Amino acid sequence: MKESILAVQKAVIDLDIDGITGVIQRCLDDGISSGEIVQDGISKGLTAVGVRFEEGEYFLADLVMSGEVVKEGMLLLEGKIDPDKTAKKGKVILATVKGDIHEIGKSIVGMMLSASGFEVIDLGVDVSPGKIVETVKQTGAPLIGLSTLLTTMVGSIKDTVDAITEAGLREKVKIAIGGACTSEQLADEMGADAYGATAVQAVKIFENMLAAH
Amino acid sequence: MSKHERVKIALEHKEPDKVPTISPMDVQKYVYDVLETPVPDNITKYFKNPFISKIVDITAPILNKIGGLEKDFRNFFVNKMSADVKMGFDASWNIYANIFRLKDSKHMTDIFGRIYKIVEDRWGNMETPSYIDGMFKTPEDFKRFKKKEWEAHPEMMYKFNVYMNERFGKDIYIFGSHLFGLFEQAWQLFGFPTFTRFVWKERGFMEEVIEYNKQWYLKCVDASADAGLPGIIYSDDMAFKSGPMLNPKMMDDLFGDALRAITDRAHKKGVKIVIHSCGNNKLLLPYFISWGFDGHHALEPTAGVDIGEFREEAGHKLSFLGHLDIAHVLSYGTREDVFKNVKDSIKKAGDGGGLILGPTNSHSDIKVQNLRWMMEAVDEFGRYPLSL
Repeated sequence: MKESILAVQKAVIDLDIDGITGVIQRCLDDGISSGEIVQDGISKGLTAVGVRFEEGEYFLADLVMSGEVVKEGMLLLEGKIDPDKTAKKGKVILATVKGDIHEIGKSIVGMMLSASGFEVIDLGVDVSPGKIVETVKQTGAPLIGLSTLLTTMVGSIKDTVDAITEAGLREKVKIAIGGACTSEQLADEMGADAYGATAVQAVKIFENMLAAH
Repeated sequence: MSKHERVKIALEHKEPDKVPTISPMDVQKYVYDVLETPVPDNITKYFKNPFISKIVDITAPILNKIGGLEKDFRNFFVNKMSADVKMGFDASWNIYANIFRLKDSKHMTDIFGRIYKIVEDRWGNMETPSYIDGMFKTPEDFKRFKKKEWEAHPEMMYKFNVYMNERFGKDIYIFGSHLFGLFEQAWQLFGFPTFTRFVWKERGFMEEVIEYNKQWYLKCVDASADAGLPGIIYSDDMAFKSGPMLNPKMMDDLFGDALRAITDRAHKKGVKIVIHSCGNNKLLLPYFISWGFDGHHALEPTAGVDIGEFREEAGHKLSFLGHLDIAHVLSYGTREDVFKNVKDSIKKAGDGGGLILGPTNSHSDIKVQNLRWMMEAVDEFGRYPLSL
């Protein structure tokens, strides 16, 4: 791998927000395509950040900062990436459930999934079960990630799972849940297929689901 | 033994007659079920009417001046203390929550610069507004923000604390509390991504924000201590279930000195000060001790907190408060579940005092019956000397 691509990885891993645009520009000057910069530089950097988080070296703020570094770098690549040339593993719908508006955890999961090659359809926060059903129908996404931080809103997970079942889609999708108040037990109680405690776990869960799909 | 003595002795890591109890922070349904009265209509209940909602969108600043919200929050916390006393809790949180202002019919702001969505629990009662984002995206935004109400808050908090202490102080051990500590005051006013950028790129500005909040929080400490409240719960969520939100070392670099000044002020005034932080704070326990806190509240079981491991880690340098599961046990659990949860907690962390049990946090589904079982279980298993 070219040295300039490795420098992009390193800038992401080191959370070097001041250096990221310089190293991306160097890649472009070296004739490296935007797609390669994203896949071999940024995505691999983010994966390494995820590993550091799993190992307890990095914390939530570091994950968020890596997202900020990537945002900064992507400004340089905007409009230069051909979506058809970027390999995608599969579609994942992400949503914070109805009644809850917490976003940080879900956004980090989205960032890690994108970095791992998934096509992320982020519906945002306070998302109704109807909207999720509609999106499954429109996109054919086989994977759904539901997030909630509030203990008072766990019922919305069940409402969403029920709405998917009623729409006849339950056999076609796998559902994972995450967020501060969620647990393995809650996933069982709410009829979800899996529970992920961290963004890095979420990636593994969706990869396994996709492999089994 | 009086409730005051029981709590005080436990906080000093000695064994009182039995393990003391502490109430939940803010749950409307619990409060009015205990008081056997219907939940009063909050003014936001009328905002669902499309006509009223449009009027509120236009007249929010005027409504803020009239102060309808202030009455709602004040009455709630007075009623909550009545409910806590009636339930027989040994200790209670007392929050002066006159910080919220209407932005429009669906949103609120607070006097510090947060934006919230107005939310209801599944019973249709207003919940603590749900934080969306901060108003500030640049240092200039923060500096320009008019802080008149912010500055005036400690004085109003003091008056409320005096009232609450005169009315309830003999019946229950009252922890004075303000809703937000220095970490939340640092990140929530900007949103977490902007905050992280500032920590990396505008460190000097972030230090200014922390210093400003420290000076202000010292006045809040005075507002509790000078009103005669015996304890303070310093509420500052620093962790998620995966652990601290910020590298603990960085947390210490940024906030350590300010937090030491706050605990020092409380101790000089003869007041115990406990840190409430949701999530799993295991990695922060040594810092809680070095920052001078007397105890740690929350200890969420659903965040993977094993109170026995925490006791092993912190020894008797920190008291533990709360810890009983609200996601299942105190909301939907059976009598057996509640008794088991209480017994296990006392067994793991009750020896030598330093344990005050109660709901780990707030949840609208907490049932009064389950809290009564909790009290019964504490009576059964929590008598010192323990024999579990």
